[in-house]
Amino acid sequence: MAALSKRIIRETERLVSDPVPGITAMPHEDNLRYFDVTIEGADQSPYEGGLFKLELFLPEDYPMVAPKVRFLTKIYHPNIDRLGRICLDTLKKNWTPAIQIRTLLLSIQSLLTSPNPDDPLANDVAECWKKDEAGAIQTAKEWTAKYAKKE
Amino acid sequence: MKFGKYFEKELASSDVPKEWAENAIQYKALKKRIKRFAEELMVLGLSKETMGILLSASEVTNATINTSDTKVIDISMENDNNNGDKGDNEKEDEEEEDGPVSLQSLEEKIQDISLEGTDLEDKEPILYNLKFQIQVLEDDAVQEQENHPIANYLLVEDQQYVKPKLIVVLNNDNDEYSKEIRQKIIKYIEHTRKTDKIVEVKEDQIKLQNIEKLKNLQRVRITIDLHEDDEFFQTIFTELTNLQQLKIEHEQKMTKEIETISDTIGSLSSPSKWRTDLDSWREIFEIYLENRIFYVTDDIHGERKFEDSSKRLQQFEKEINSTDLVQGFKHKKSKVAYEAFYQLNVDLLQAMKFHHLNKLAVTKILKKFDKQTALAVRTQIPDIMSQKPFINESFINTLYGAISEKLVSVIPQIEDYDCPICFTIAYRPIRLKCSHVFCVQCLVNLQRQKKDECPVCRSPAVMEATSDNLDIELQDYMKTYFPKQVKEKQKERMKTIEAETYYLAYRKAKYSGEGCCIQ
Repeated sequence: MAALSKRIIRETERLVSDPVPGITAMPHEDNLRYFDVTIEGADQSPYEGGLFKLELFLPEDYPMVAPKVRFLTKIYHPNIDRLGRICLDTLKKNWTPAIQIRTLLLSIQSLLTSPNPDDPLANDVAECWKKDEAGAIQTAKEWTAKYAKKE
Repeated sequence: MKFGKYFEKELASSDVPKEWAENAIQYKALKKRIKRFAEELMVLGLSKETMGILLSASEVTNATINTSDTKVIDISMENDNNNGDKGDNEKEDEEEEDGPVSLQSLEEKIQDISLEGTDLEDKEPILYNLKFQIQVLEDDAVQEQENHPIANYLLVEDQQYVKPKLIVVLNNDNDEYSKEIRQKIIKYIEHTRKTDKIVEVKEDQIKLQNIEKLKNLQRVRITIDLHEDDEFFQTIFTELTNLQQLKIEHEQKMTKEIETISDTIGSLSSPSKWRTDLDSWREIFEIYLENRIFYVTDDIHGERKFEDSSKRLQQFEKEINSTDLVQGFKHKKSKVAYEAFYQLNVDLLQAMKFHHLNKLAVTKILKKFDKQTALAVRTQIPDIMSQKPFINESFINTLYGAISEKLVSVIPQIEDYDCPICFTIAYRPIRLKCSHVFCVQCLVNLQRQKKDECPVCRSPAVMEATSDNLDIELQDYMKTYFPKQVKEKQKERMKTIEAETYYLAYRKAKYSGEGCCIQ
């Protein structure tokens, strides 16, 4: 394992000392490239009141390649599949090394506010979302209450 | 603790300069004024309770102009009808009202008498300075009466002060409040006149006639220039003007101070000098900025803001003292400049506190005023009064901004010269055609991965970059201002190149079958 770059150290310091509102990210003590992340569902979204757990891993080539991020909490969202994998352009082809962990997490937070059923990862969810948006939102709310309850 | 005491104690405390304290709001004196004003109103039968009823009646009247379901309106309508005939017979009622009267024209139209009393005997030492204008309301004024409030408290703007006036419309004796107030006012005027030797006879006659009228069952409108209240406002406005002056002086002094200090520090930390305190100053400012002493957050105001900043300044001092930065200055002047810099922050903090206290005092005194007189003065006093004379957050922001900008920009901060990819100094700096700068190492990495988009703005600019894109001017600047960081980065770069060369050699050896290249 390569030594921790100055960039990772600096990013981690800032994430802890000056966190983004509604988002926490803590590195594991035994692996400083592995982060426990939580994101609060935004107000006026179907995920309002929910607290979602994610895992984030910085590959060895970070920041030349994007971090690996996955939802651990079950969530009903057209761009997030059953395994918690996220369909977000900045995580794939639109990644640039100038994007930081905090900006990436912000993008994920805003993905929750504005789902994009036309570019789905979870096909069944996206279908429902397109056919019956109100019903889908209701389901998302129910899932939030069921799985993402704050402790 | 009562606010008056608290205020005095805080002003007397050692960290408020004497000349400031002298200019502070005279809270206790103002409090006495309010008391005298309340007494003044009492003489006219306008106790706090009565005022409250009259003023709220005026609100009701205003609010329900077209509905006659309130007693107040009913009474006034009856009065109009009853008194109209009598009014017509009065000789001196020459002027006629046409419709609702605006307050300015009101004064012009008033067939007035001015009564100006002087001090009475010692046994009644109070409050014989009120001026009255009495106007008899006529039949024709029915319209206007309908709309006119029972009592109205006005602050008429007069140059830099406001002139407080009270306008009372009194009905006939059926109205118990009118009756009481009318009697008190008549008594007051007669009493004043008895002791007033200055008024000429001719004027006196007019007054007499009006007094008679006042006694009759008529609707009258009395405009009262409130003397004690006027004094109150003159006092408070004078004090506010002084405070404003003081505030301007504070601001100028501190702004100038910043310039002086930044000039000094700039010369002491010039990298061209053989002995420079550049690094020490840089570290000090880093600690300073990290502590965000006067950083304004939305949810912290007033007292708490002050305490918050105070704590942060202490924390800053503690952190500085835990290093040997100040002791380690190479120039003696640096130490002096640091002390001046620290003092500047203390001064700003003090000014903040002082102005906050005064602002609080004004708010409290106006609250007291309202409580004792039922006059909602706080809703009438313009915002300027509670804002302009005080150092407010925008000034603190400006000044803090100036500190950060002026002082800190004298010392370039490394963050501004970091490569956005590796977060270390962007040396050697390669400037892409989109003007974004990266260190050569990160740019090489991008090119190797054939990533053409600029990581910051995504414009296709990476692949075409060559050694011509080296920003030589910036490179020299970095060498001058960040020699330590540049050296570290160079060392790291050398290591990478060595590793890569070795790796290439290893691969070459491996694939060409020449065997191990390590001895």
